Amino acid sequence: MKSINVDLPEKIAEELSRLVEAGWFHDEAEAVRIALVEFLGHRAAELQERFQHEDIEWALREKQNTPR
Amino acid sequence: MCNTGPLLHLGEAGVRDLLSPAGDVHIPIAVDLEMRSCDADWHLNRPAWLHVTQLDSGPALEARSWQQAGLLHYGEAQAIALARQLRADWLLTDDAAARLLARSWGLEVHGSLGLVLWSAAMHHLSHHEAEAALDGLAQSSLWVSPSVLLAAKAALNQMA
Repeated sequence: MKSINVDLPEKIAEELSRLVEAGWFHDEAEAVRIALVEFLGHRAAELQERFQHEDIEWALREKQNTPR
Repeated sequence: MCNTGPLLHLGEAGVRDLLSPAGDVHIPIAVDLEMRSCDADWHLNRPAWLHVTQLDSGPALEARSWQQAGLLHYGEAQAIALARQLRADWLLTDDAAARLLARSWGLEVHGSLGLVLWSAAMHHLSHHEAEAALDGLAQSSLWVSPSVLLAAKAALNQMA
């Protein structure tokens, strides 16, 4: 598993600690992981479409780089 | 390296064999099991060019931790771990989260729609066959928006 250190604004960090203390999450790392998964879930269709457009551009570049 | 999505979606579009000219295609055991759950005859239908490859213990642990963290389903996690283990040229997936995470680890990732267009670009498919394959994908369980389908067909015309 990859670990990253992130600086959070004080207000968000306090809110995060409050959610953990209230028992919503095991710890702050779990809260951040779940928030990220939720974000990806909600943006999945948008991301999917963006990736498909990227693939279209990629195929066109591959075509240009291939001799006829 | 391929996960369940492209095997399923290209299969539904009737062009699963497009994966073969792309090179040696490997899937992890979790993807093979997912395919068995989608297709009762998968053990009979599994293409001969498809290699089911076991993960080494390190990458297997890595995949398990991604799944346990809730970041990915097990098949996707194993596919990314196997792509890293094999230093695969490409990871093929139609899952946005898997693609995002795989890219963050430096993997080159493409999806079913990209593979169809790449096959047309490499002359593995004629213009007509590629257009039919795009229509097939749009009718498969893969989400392809009308604007993406339009852009894909425009790209196909540009290749002609």
